[in-house]
Amino acid sequence: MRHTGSRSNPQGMGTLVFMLVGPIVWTVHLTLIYGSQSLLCALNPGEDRSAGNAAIIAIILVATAVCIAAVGFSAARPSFVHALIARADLPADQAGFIVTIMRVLAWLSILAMLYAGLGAVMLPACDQLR
Amino acid sequence: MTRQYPAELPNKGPRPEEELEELKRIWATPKGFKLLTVVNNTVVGTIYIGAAFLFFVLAGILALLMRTQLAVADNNFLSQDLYNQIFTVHGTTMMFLFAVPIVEALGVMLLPQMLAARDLPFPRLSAFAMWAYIIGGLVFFSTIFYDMAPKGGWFMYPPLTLTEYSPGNNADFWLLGIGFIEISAIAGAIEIIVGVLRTRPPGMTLAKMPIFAWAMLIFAAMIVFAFPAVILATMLLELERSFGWPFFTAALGGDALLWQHLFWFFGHPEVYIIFLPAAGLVSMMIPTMAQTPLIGYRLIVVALIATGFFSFGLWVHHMFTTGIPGLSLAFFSAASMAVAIPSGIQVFSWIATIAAGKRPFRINVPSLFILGFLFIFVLGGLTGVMVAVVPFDFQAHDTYFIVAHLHYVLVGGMVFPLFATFYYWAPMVSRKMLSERLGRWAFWLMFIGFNTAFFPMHITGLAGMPRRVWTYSGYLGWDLLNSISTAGAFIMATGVLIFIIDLIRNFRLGGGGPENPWNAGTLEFLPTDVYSTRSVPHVTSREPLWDQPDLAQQVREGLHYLPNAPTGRRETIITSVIEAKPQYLMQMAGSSWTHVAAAVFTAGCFLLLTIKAVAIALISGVLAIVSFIVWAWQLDRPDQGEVDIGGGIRLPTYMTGPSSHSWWAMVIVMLVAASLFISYIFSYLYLWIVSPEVWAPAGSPALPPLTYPVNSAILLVFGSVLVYWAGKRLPPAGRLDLHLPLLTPALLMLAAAFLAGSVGVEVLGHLRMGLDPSANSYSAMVYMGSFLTGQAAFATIILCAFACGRLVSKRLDQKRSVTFDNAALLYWYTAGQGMCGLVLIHGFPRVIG
Amino acid sequence: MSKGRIRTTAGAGILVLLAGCNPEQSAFAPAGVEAERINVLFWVMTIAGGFILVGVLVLSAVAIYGGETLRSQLSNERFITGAGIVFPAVVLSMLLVYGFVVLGAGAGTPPSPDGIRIAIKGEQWWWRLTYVDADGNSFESANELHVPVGQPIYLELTTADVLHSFWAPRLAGKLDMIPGRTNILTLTATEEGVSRGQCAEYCGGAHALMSFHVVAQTQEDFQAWVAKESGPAVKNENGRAARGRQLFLNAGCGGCHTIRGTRAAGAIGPDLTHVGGRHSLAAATLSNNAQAFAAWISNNQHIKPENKMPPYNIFTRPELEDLALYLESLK
Repeated sequence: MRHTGSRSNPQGMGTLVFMLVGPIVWTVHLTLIYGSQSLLCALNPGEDRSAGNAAIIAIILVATAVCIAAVGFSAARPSFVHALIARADLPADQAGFIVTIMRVLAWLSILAMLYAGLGAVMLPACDQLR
Repeated sequence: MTRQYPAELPNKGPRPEEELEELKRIWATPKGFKLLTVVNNTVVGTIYIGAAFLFFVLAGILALLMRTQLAVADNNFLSQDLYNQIFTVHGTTMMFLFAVPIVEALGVMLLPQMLAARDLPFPRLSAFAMWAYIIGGLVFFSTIFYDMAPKGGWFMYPPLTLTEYSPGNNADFWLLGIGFIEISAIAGAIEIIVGVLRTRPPGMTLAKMPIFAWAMLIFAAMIVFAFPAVILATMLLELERSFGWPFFTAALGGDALLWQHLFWFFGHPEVYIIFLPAAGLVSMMIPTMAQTPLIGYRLIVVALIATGFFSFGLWVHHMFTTGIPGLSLAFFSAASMAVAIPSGIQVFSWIATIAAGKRPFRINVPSLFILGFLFIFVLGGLTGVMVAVVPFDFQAHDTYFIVAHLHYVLVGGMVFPLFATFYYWAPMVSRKMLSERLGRWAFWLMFIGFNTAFFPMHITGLAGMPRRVWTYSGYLGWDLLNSISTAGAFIMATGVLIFIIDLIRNFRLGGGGPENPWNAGTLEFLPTDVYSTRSVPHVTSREPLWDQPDLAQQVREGLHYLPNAPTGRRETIITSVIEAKPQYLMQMAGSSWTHVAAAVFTAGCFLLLTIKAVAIALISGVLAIVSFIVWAWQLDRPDQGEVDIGGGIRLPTYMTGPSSHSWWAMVIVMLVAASLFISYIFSYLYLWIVSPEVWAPAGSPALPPLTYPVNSAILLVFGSVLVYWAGKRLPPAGRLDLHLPLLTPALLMLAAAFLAGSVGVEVLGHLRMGLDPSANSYSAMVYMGSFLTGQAAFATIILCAFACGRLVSKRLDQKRSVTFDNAALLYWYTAGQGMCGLVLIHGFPRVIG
Repeated sequence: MSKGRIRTTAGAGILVLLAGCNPEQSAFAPAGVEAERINVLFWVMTIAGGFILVGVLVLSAVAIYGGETLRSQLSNERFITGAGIVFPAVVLSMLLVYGFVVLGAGAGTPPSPDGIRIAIKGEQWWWRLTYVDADGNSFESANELHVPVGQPIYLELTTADVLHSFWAPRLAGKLDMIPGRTNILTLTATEEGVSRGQCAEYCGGAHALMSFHVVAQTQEDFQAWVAKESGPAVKNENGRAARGRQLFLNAGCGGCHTIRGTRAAGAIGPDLTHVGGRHSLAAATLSNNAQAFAAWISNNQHIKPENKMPPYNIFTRPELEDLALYLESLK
């Protein structure tokens, strides 16, 4: 490709993605837990399903723990994560703004993932509960 | 007259007279009949808003008819069938023809002014979206007069909407109406994303962007990911209605819930797609009324982004009563709780800003509507949290409690801010402001009427009244509550009527109105003319008009960037994404009949298909494609060399690669296509989970031998390589004496043929094995994959042919290569999608088998 | 502040407005275990929500009209974080846990193995009920659900055509009927009496006229009802009713309807074996008496538009009366 302009645009996209790390991981988390639970509940309709059900709960809890850890790490080490994603330093005059947005989003996402994980602690894996 | 011009400004005054004349000539609005060809954002925005408001009034009249019918028990004012049509058209019109379009229209109208851009980056695209929407919308709405309106409810759940239970064209008209809004919404989203990210004024970094721009950016991004789900859903439903491909028929392995998943994966974000821009507008108006910067700007940005994401994790809360496992419901209950927090952030940021005012908060018509919004929206949010609690929703779902809740969040969250917006921004386009006195009448009637109409519905619903009933029995005792609601509806309608009277008396399109009447701090209140602002200011804060007191004067005198038209045509400054550094000058399209023709013929094609006039529909479709080609042919103007925009900045006038606006637009198109394809993959796997018994190899004819997919894949790979090779063989720039470049077009056309061949081989393979698309959900899904890739291939082939035309006519070379770049990007995308399709269709059954 | 007063008045007004309502179909008058749990949940949320709404209004009023010092307390990011993030996070966490507890309670007690199962099939626009006892004996009825008080009952919800939703608000929340699926709803009536339910998922045409009655009765009454309902129709030797029966059979009504004990064995429309004993006609559209039968037979497309039964105008007035008397006698 022929680049004639500033090279900052792909990095700009990287910075946008960096700001969204929390919610993006939350999306992955919801896909993982809802997808695996729906799939395994549908495939496991037998009489004794306690083993399968325990597996579902375990998957949800592990996914929740891993995703929360990933987001928590990003919130704790923003410069490192930004360098990883955008392959550049944070823009100097906006670093504070960008990191704040990223961090608050990260905390909200962690809360949302905790909420979702709480279901697995309190409810059976596949019952309709009606 | 002597005036000191500050030395540090980008340009020196006084500017030569001819510059202004030239700007006026270049950006002139066409007159008379040719007004239809207009692309200037303020004019397009006004027509767009007017059309959307018309649909609001029309759908509101339908609401009054319904309320009249329900005022007393056992009423016969409307027949059952007409009532069912009316509530369907009311909901569909309000959601698809009013709420989404008017928000897009506000974006078209306000964004360029807020960003001090000359226009949005693709002016003809917004005009096209508007015309397609107006034509499609009017045809859709008029079906109510001919007893041809859809009657399946605005979410059109199958199986009720399948041909078996909804014969006739009624349901097809719904699909038509939605088809248009899908097209115009996606066109608008591309426009807005590129506009917000790339046409900001120099110095307006992300951290200095007006909140409305943030809101519109997120709005548009949500459209990119949400609308494809409903596009796929409408395609599946129309294919099942027209050709019997059984996606939703349980007896053949389909599932009614697939529609609900796809529809609400779009439908719930849709609610926030409507709400976020309105919240953004509130965040713009409150600081002005309090005369102080927004408190919690960063937190509001967080809230907008978080809402945008979390709203994609709520869709199953429309399906709490479908019998899905309780734990699945819990995930979505959790997300529905989480999404309440960003709303809390916004509400308290607004309260904090009101409290921060140096003088008391100004109470006028916009602020009354905002305060009314605050009350209604908080109440609607609280009932929203209530229905997010799964067991409570078991009772409330599909009752008048939900009718009350959704009107509280939508009317409160969107319509009230919209009326505030009308009063607040009218002076931007009108010579006269709207009346404060009439506005107050309108507000109080609407506010009192709204609450009178909708508050009692919470009780009506829990007292047992389901939604979508055309009548109820007198002995249930719901009369009093319903009579009160009806009275409230008419009071609210009176308020809207008074607003219309105000519009007729005071709204006069044209400049020369009061300048910055509210003393706002943002750029849209700079003095403007047809060319937007005379010069593009260098922005150093979030409220430039407050922090740079002479800014209006300086901008008007042309002392900031680009006070003229150095290329002699329409143009605007493109800046970088994060830091808003000027990168190049974009040459823009002007008025044209091409996009109008494209809209008319696209509308004609869909419409004629709906009434099954296939031959004329195809002619119309061909004419639409021709219009698109002529439209695009006029774009991609050649490089005009570097130009000076002031402040010692010289910018190129042509750009390719990841810095160009067209690259960004193409990437967004690819994201839309990818979202569509991911929705398809979800649907395929979902139906397999529901009905594994119809899947190959056990339940359907065996898969074609591997030679078919392998050949298909080879064609895709070879085609992609050919396109890459063609890219290396573009003619050098500026050497017009060279003989016709024949090899490159030949490579491109060969690549296009490979793409068509690849899809053909795939379809042929399944046909040879005797797979019938109407046999079961598996076979329908197999052909659906080819259908989607075929669609993308069709667009790619047209684009390749277009690029060949540009090559042969010497409008495409190594430097002026945007057309080729776009064709290549789309080609590689399509090849990639085709590969994924092959892996899914041929791999998955082999893995499970 | 006036808006606050409006809200408080409205809250108190709920009771006033409800006074005009018949509680037969009201979630505010629970008569089942599930509905009672949800009713408590509703009031907890409503009262808490009311306090929050009033709180927001008070803060708004302070922000607009408050003194300088009071307002400066509100105008900073700390206030936003506290009121907009921390407070809602705490409240929502508690509510989420409470919601999960109530949801989890839905697992409930399984019905006793000797209990009766009831299959309910939604059809445009009525309900087909099939009662199956522990021995597998079954009988069919329509538009009226009988349940014994105090015993969890399994309802197997299916549909014959489009989506429907089974909703008996006094007993439990609703559950949809979806083609290709069987949804199981367990409900437990806590007090005797007749209540009403309605289809809650829009199902086309006469969706508004697709209701039913629920009769909760003591175990003994329920057994007695089952014994009678599972038997054949009463034999009518009375002159007019007997003529009505002949008319019914000769006019071909048996093509769609079953009356056990006669040769009418149609399976398209509702089973009429004991239709005279039900609380209503046409899925709780009409009251149950001879006039209503006569009106329905001749004029049903006006009473319940689009329903699948054609209007029968072939009968003379006396014939129609005989037919209606016969059907009414089928207690």
